[in-house]
Amino acid sequence: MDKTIPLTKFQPLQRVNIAAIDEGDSGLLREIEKKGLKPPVIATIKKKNEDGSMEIEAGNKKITLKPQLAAILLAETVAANKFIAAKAETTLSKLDAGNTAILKEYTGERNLLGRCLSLGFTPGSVIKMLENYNSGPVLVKVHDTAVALGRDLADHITVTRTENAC
Amino acid sequence: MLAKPENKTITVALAGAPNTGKSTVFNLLTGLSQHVGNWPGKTIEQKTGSVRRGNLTMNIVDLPGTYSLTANSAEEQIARDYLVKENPDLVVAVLNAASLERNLYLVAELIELSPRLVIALNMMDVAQQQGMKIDAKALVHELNIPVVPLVASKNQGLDELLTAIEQEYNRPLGSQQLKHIEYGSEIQKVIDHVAQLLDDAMTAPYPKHWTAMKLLEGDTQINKMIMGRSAGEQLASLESYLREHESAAVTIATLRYAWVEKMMAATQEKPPLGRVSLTERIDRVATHPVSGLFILLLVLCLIFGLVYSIGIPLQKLLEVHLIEAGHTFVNAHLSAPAWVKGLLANGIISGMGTVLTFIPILMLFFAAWAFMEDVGYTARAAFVTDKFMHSLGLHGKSVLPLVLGFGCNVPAILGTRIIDSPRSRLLTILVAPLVPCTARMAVITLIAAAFFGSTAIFVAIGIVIFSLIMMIITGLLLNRFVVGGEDSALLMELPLYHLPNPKIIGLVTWQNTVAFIKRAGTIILAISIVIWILSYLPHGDINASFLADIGKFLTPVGKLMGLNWQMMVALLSSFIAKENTLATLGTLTGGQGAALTAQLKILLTPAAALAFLVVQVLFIPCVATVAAIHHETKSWRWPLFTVAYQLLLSFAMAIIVFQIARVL
Repeated sequence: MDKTIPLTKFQPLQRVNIAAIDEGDSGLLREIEKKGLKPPVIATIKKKNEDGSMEIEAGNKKITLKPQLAAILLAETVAANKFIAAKAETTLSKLDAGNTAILKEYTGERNLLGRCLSLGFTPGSVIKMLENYNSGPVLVKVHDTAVALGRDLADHITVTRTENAC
Repeated sequence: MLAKPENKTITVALAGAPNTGKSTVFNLLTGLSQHVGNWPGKTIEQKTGSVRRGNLTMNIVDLPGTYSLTANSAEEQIARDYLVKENPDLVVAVLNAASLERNLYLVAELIELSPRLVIALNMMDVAQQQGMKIDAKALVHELNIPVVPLVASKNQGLDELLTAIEQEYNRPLGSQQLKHIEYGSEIQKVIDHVAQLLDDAMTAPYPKHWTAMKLLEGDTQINKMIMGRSAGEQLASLESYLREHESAAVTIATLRYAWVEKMMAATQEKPPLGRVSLTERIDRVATHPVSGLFILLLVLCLIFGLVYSIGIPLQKLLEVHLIEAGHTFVNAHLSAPAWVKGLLANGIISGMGTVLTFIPILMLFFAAWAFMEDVGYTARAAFVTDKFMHSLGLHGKSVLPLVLGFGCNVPAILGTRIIDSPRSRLLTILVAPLVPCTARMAVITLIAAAFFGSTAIFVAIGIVIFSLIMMIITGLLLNRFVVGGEDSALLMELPLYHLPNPKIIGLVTWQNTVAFIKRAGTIILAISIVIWILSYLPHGDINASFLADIGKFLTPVGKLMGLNWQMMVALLSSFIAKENTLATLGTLTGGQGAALTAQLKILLTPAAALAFLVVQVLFIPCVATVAAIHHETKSWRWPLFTVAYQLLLSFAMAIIVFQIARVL
């Protein structure tokens, strides 16, 4: 995050990653958090007003920022691929059936780590989601076998989506 | 003169992951020579058997199915402790050729313990169906380990496997080196560093280097052992170093899989991408939350249909031709004192009869279970029920023993061994006795028919549903308030579907039946005799016996449920075995069959009959079930808890039902 600049410097229609917050009093910080702009957040600039206030869109929500807020939000432009990368990272439980992803990290309890590893849930492994009905366990294919995981467990495995090959 | 070849006996351990057909290989190698026991101090089955080949006798030990040798579970601990401590002459790694990638991970771990290894590459036919081409020769070349392709389900390749075992055993040590896994210098340095912090005395009987690796992998058992054996500065530096390298566990596993991938590249030609296998197509329906449950229901209906259309008539047949014929013979043709006749007829023959007449039903359940397991369906049943079972603190796999419970609660409790989480397993054991078994169903059917005429079937079904609701409530309560510990998530492999092997199903059914007779049979017989003695002493008249005294003592409680002392005695006798209720009522009222029905109508009002059905279905589990709970939990705490809980529950519910039904 070395090249962040104040949000006010960006122009409408630019896509930005709000990466950090400059010094500000706790009231302003709380306001930012309330608006759901706790970094990092991807946003699109919609409108810049004369008085320094801004309208942006983040997470499909229109948000109006008063000048004091816009001034302390530090952002960077989002390169197209970086934007995809940010969106591509998710938990295994949110992967739709038929999609594949690469395992990034196991974030759950340490005592289940060993079992996950021995079943092949190692970083870099390719996982294909076979069945995911948004409740109950999921069924994935990893290292050539079908493995069922409880939803709690799937919630604690982060993955990076890959472009679907087929 | 030629020297006679010496007879030799060697020990061969079978290692392998679940779903590799390892048990099939074991069963086919050892046949009926096998001995089934428990691993010392564990409730995990230990199977041993032997096979003779010329002058070489191989004692074969079937290790528990494991994916790795890191002690993530009791099974894994048993497997690796056996390899390290018992030092078998040779290890056969049974691999599933259709999921070689997964299975080679275990080989990577086995190589680290450097035993004499032979690889049995099973399910070659399934791999072929999946469009995989596996070059066994290339695998031999890569690993320097003999590899034998097998199709155990079709009895192919077993002879070749025995030859390979013999050859490998006779090969002088050191003539061929196992190729160890290269972990790369970086992690190797870390492992070496940990090894330096250890000494041989601390790690015995495990190899030092291996112990270092397991410490880094976060193996709880090894960690506990080493921390217990070290102290002071050594302990402190070890602990801090391990904490610093906590991520090593992931690194080591990842590197092992990288090694596996290298092996795979050399030996397997992958099927063309985008191919959807038959298993995947079936699973779209079989694991779907709606259609999956529907299929499960259908499967259960089929099993019950089978049991009721074949098992029950068989049971009746045995009852007539064995028990009743036995009674008649003893009473009519034996000249002996009355008490000897009584003991023989009502104690021993009835007791044995209880067990024997039950066997057709149980065998059908066991066969259905073995069939579902062999085909690969059981894992799907666990998958579709996991969400619901989880809400009770149970586990998807709990559904299987609970279904078995409809046949008999004893195998249900033994069957909980498949649940890998200790907490879910305990909860399943505690709720299983509330599944109405066939014995209870027999009593319910008869009494409902006697009192409720055309609505009897609905009353009977209602009672079963009521019992299941009680089971769910009990599960919720125990999960919330009684049983402590962590919930464990579902994590299991779903094997490929395959055609069943009748030989294996037959063998498994036979083993389970024998185990049931040994486990439950002896207890039921012993208690039958004790109860008979109580019903005979002191005067030889049941109406004035100790048993009657106990029944009369319970009259005040019985009254609240509308039950007289005869009904209470009948209830108590269900402790031996649930169907004894009817036999006891017969003895107490002097009626059998239609006469018993008539007698019951004199003894009970319809409200009391309903209360009796309720108390009977929820009453304390039979003695064989209590013994099974004791055996499986290795404590008296839980069997006593179950007895007390179900005593209270059954009485409370029956009193409520009677008091309400009386007013209506």
